[in-house]
Amino acid sequence: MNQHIPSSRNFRLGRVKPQAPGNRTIFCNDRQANHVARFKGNSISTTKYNFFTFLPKGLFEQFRRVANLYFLTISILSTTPISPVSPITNVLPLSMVLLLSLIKEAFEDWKRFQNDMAINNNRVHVLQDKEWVSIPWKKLQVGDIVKVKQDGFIPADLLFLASTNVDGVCYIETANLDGETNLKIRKALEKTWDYVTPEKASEFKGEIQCEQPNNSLYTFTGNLIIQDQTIPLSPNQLLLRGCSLRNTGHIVGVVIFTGHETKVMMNAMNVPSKRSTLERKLDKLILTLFATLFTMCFIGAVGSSIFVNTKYFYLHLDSTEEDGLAQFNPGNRIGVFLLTMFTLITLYSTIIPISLYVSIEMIKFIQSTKFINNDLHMYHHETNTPALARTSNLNEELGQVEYIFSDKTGTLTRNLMEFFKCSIRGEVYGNGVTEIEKGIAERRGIKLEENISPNAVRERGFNFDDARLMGGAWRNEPNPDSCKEFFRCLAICHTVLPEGDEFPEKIRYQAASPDEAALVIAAKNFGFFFYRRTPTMIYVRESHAEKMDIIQDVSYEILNVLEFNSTRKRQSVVCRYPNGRLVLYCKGADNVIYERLVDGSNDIKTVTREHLEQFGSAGLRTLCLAYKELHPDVYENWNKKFLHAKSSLSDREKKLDEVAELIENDLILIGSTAIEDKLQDGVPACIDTLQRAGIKIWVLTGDKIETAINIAYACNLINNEMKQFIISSETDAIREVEERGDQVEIARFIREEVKKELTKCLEEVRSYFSSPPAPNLALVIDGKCLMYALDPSLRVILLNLSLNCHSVVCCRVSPLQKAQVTALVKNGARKITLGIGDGANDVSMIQAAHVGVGISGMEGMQAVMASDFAIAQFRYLVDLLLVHGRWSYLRICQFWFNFQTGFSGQRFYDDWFQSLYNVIFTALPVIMVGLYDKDVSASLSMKYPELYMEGIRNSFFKWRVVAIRAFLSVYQSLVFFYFVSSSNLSAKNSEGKIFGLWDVSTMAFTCVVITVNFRLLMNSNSITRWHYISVGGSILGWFIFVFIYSWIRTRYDRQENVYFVIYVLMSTPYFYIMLILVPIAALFCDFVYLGVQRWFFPYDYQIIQELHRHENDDSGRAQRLEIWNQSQPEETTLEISELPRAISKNTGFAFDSPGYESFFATQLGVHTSQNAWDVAKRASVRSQDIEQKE
Amino acid sequence: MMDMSPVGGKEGQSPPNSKKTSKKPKYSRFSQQELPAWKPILTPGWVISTFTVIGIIFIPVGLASLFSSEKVEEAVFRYDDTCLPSSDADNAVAYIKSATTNKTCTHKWTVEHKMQAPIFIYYQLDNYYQNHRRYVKSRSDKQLWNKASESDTSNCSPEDKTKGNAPIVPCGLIAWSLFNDTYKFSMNNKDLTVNKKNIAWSSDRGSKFGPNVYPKNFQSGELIGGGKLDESIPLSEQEDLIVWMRTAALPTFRKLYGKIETDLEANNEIEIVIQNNYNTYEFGGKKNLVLSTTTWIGGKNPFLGMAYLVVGGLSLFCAIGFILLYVIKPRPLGDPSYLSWNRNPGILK
Repeated sequence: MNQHIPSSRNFRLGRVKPQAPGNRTIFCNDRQANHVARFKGNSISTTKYNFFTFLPKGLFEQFRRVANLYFLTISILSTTPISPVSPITNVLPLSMVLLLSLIKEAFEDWKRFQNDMAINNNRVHVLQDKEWVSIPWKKLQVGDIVKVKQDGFIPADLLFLASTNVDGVCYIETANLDGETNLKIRKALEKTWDYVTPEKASEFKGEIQCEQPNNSLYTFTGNLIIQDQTIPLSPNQLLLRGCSLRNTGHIVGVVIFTGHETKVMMNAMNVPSKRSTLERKLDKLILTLFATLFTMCFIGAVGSSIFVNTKYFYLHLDSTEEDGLAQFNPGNRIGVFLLTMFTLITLYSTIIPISLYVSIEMIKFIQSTKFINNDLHMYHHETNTPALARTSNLNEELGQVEYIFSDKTGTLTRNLMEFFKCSIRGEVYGNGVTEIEKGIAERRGIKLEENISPNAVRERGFNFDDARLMGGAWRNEPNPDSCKEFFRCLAICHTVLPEGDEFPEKIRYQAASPDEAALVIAAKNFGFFFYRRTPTMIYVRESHAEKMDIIQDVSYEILNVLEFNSTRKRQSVVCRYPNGRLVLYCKGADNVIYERLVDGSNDIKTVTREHLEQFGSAGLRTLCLAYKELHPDVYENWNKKFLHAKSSLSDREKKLDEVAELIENDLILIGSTAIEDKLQDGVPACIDTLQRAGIKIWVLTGDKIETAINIAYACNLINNEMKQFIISSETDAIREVEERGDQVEIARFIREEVKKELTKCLEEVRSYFSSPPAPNLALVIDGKCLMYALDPSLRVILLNLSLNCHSVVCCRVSPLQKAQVTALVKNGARKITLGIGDGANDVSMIQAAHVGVGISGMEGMQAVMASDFAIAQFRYLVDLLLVHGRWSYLRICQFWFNFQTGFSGQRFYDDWFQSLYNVIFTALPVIMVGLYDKDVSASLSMKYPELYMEGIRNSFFKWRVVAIRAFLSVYQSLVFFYFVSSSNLSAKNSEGKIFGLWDVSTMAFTCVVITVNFRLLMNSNSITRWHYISVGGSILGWFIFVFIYSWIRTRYDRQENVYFVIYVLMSTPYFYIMLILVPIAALFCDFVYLGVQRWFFPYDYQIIQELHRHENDDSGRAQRLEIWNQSQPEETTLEISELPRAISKNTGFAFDSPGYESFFATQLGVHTSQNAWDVAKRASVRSQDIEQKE
Repeated sequence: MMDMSPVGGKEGQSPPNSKKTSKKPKYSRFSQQELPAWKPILTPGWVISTFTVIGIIFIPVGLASLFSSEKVEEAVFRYDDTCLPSSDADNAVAYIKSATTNKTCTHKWTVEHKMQAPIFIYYQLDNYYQNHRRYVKSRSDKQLWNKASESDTSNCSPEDKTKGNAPIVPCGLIAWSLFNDTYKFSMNNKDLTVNKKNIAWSSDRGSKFGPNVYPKNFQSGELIGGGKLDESIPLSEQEDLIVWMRTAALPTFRKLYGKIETDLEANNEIEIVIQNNYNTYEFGGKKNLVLSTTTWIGGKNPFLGMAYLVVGGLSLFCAIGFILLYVIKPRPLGDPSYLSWNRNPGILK
């Protein structure tokens, strides 16, 4: 029982986890009986450490860094007598590094802990002694009976027993699980409907036998044994943790899975410790350096062991009794070799600067807390949310992202449908300009002017501006009758429930899909206000319908509702006007409607089709509206058939569809609607910029294929010039096999199909690439196919195919599949990936990607909690990646190279010089560069997104570049050594005195400090006053240090090596001459390199710098800030219609099914028997009940 | 992982609440990364003018140093070989170690050019690793400075204590191996005075070697490393020792021996009597005697001038080279056609 396999394993297996053997038996409402089974509690913990594991685990994490391990070794070595340096100079910095890192880890974990606590301490009502008692979530146990109120979150996986709704249904929102916001319906077993009140519920004694905890969100099998009856359970009775209850007073349920065993938690992956790829590469570099060091030491040690000889009598190597001799004993050259090796390693250890990691951490910390968190460009005014870097490890990773995996709902879109345009009898209404059109216009260089008419009505769900239709003005249009039918169709043909007061301003529409709500809201704004529904009637308050300024309430009798489903792709309502007129209103996908139109009036059809295509290419979701007058006799005749079909017991759905076909013909086209799936601000522009930056964007969504494609159009990810590959499980062949119901056969068949499709597509791709110009490619694949495509045997084909595509859209994917796709690219293609999303369903994707970004500011925090960076809007990705990421990347690289200059012959420096070299004399300017170097300004980064490709290609950190730098460093070290020591023989001042060892070394060191600091300036792209201060300060600091250091003398032990050395040096003209000569000679090569590189092999950013060399910095970005800060970019009425556009084949049909056919059900191939109309009816009955009670 | 705070529907986008504190970051040039900055671009103009300026400055400086270095008169004689009697050539080590052999040798030298006083006398050793780690640290600065720290000989092993466990002052290998050749100069049978005062850096004399610290038990062991010290003279006045103990950076080094404070005219005949005591035969090191004058820049040092000339010359060369390159292969400044995505548009891959 209760085995908890870390879910990351499942993830690697790439499959739904195999069931643990056995099943679990739960005794409802009987804590004692359940006690035996020792189920886990409901408290969750997402922390990495606890009080006891913190130190060992934290230290382990730290020593996973090669450098830290190295310094540990050095520190240990330096405590032994063979060390030429004092141990404190190594141990102290290392302890500092460790301490800082540990504090940071502890702080981050503490925040996670607090978050867990907040969740664990949420209250829920539990049945105890016939009463509801409020207890915190963490106290919840398996078998408890709980009550969840409306809008409450489900605290654990529950078996749904009863609800306040009459027939044991409840509505849940699963946004936290799959990102879908349309309500799903769950139905309790009839047997348990009554256990609503605490008195009744306390009588409930049952035994549940069900599967072991697993991570499959959409399956559940089990039995409920109640009153000696065994009733099978299905996912329909399961309420998953994380869902919220809607439209239901309260529900009662039994806890089945708790805490980490809930399905949603098992879907969450272990919090991975992310390290940036650059950092891993730095580790490699450190290893290389270490190898160099080792080689140097090896040569040195060999030299030393050959050297030692008693002939150097002044070294007194022949003495026998002394301790320190082993190192130099000529009688034991192997010993000499080994010991010298260690000595040299400790001596040269500064080749790898200890302060490196401290400085890097510091830089990254400041980058994230000061720059990213404080960037005004990433502050979202409406939600009052600034950007938040939750970890500082990955800043430079942001500069190298090549693949972005994005969720759709809430990330790209606002999950807000707005009625945007319509076409009525060949006339387009609505002046709005969609984001995508703006994008197109911008790319063609057309400036869109803001032009908001004063009477534009804006409300949630309605964003339509055209005076010709508003306020009854439609009566003056050429075809007012069509307009009237159009509006009536909108007001009548739907399954929406009104809620609240029956006033246009106050009413709220409960719709299964936001599209429907938008249509009804549109009708309201056009003067056809739908305000009440009973099971048989729809009440509409019509203004100006018959005469101007006349408002009258009209009731339409709803005779039949022909439902929407994914095969029909249309919905019809037969209604009877008060005057007895019978009309069938129908709305649906254009192709479905067009097939059923009455012959004739072809010009209207053609024009409307054109409009549909226009809407589609503007990223709008379209529906065609049509109607048909019915003769009472014809209707009665048909209605009989309908009733017959409805009451049939077998194949009811199919029969109903067939009957519907009989009447849904000879329709008259009224027009079409265009709904904008409201994108977040600036998304298409952002995506366009990112694409120009060489980043490929994949959309992974739980939505249907049509919706996904539509959004891809709207976001500019797919356009008509692209070759699209669509791999869908919604083909006739597959459907046919599915209907036969043999699971094994279905699996085999789909696998074959997918394989066939994939190979076909890949071949096609190859043929495109063999004969350029290749078109841009796009791949659309749905979750079911993806499941098979991710199979190890097909994975390679999938990867090959998708990497060649410019954009990839995966629809109907589960959270786990999102992670799998991400991991496929991350591990398979070894590219840097970024996952962005807003909901709990994105968590695993966010964690699987190199960089996880959460959308903050909305209600859900799960994604944010799992993310590395949180931003309020998708468009801020541009800032995050192109500005911060690029700079961070550049800076960290710069930083690194600057550190390497210390690669010089340090062998004769004083201990303290050496250990302070990296810490004080050179660290500060390097940090400044790490913080502040900018190649081009932020606005130019945005203007030339292509610059980002340098990060993707990793141009600044190629081994070639590293090698050049290393070569220059070696050159410099040679210059230092030979120049400084060359004139060793001659007197250094006119008094004929000669420098000793320490004089020479101090002089060399002074030169090194100056050179390094100047080199830094030389390599900087922008030099602020902080650069001057830090560079000047470092050089000055060195002098001050050496003045004091060589002047003081204490009573305690000290080497008087450098006593007064600097004053001696400064008394000689020789010193000054060297001081000018050596740095210039050392930097000579660098300068030549820079000159040649820039002139003949310029980096892109250098060209951009040159292009804009006369421009004032950052004005562009400031302007941009102002634009963003203006409340809302308003739509414009403009020559948008004049824009040349590609002839679209996409008409943008993407209506969300109102049929409550949940994701769960379709995943399983199971059809829930619930249908929309029943739901609507029931709900309206309920609301009436409530009204009556009141 | 789940945030269950009961918040309403997707209507989440609440308007900015003025009552709540705004989380809007404060503007500062630092955090917005908009500090004013100088953005140097390494244009050809800059490259060429930098090189030219370096060349123009360095060449005169180099010429000046070379010129003053040339003015220095320097005479070097190797004497370790010439002072070895041919009879002892095969067992030089035994010869030099023997206390009885006569180690005096005489060298005649005709001054080639006029040398102006002061003329500095150096000895130059070769293949002598005064920078060896064992050697460098084998001293006790405390003991040298402070009489009270006489017994502080921790780093001095094996020359720390006598057999009788009495501390050696000065202890350590450096002092023990003190150079002990001596030179006498005479011209026309008249001795030239060698001034051995003020040959060490004054900071060493004044604050490293104590005026009240006297040599003790020095060179009293079986093995004699080098010179002995007069136990009646405090360390601060033992300038030969002080010079010797300022260890050299490289295995070939010179140390100041003394000064001759009379001018030597050309063709003066100088007789040098060398007391060849120091053992370099064992490790094959050479010994040289150097007489040199100085200028403002120090002793003879052509390297410095040459280095300046070379760097300056190279700079001018580079300046010309770059000018030529720019003429041959010009690239307009900030030409967008050089951008990688413009050069090969299909680079998206």
